[in-house]
Amino acid sequence: MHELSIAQSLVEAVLRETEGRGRVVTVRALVGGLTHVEPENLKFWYQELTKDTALAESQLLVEKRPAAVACRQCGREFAVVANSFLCPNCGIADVRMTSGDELILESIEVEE
Amino acid sequence: MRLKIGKDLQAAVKEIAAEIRAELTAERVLAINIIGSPGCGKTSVLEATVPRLAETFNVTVIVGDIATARDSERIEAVGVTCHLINTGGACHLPPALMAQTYEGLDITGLDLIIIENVGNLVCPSTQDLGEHAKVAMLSTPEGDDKVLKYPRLFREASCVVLNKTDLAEVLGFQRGRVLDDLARIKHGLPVFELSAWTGEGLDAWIDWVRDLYEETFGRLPDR
Repeated sequence: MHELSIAQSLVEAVLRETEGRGRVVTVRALVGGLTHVEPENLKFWYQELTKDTALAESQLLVEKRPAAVACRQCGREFAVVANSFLCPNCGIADVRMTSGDELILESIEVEE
Repeated sequence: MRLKIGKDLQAAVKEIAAEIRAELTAERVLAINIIGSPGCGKTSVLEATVPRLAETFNVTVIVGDIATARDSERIEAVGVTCHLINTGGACHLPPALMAQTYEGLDITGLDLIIIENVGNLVCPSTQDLGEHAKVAMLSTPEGDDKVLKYPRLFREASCVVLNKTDLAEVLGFQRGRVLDDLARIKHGLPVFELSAWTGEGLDAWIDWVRDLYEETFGRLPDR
């Protein structure tokens, strides 16, 4: 959806976190399954934005984590598959989200 | 060497939304964010219902549009104040733009803010504008298959308005399909089937807004 602006925030965060450190090799990001963020498009914009910068050689790895929910009736936790939020136990979609909305800069690998 | 970061890239916008919600709640102002496709009838439903809501609430409407003042002019024509945000091309209202709008808006004495978001079923669903509830609006000409195609919106929504029921028969619209799909996304989601054109079904939606206000603030505003 809005991968360019997200890539901008990501690059800014990476630069801030690695200021005064060595060369950045790998950046790992986590994207929730309900965010409408497409990992390949995010990587594309990351590469575009880091061209001719200190991050030019770095690689962005994006993990897309499926949305997960917990049933309010029976407490069962399950991953959302094919957009169905129906509890396999109860058969109804009375759930609270436990994950799916994340956009997280997880870790950065640097060469000191 | 691996640096563990764990930084939430949405932290800044989440903070803005939380601040807006806290400020509105402190002033006993209920904010409702209406999200639906271009042409589903967001403005028409507001034209038909906001003057009636104005009997109970001191209400204002905030309209987000990429361009033109067409929607806000229609709202003002039914005697309700309206604040237009032209997003200049953006497909949704972002929290930062809402914060700016609230800075220029005196909420003292207001009871109800209805936000008519930019027509779009995707992007607005991911944006927390500091509202108390999101309303998903569908209309029969869009087809009865939309719920599972845009799951995030219906997950986020506190109720669904299904507009243009007067056209359902001629379009072969299967309401059961919408209700079945909604049940797979969110249990117990209220659905208001109505027609802004004929006026059918509007009462239940108006009551829902009143009930939500009472539920949020304990009682309806003194007027």
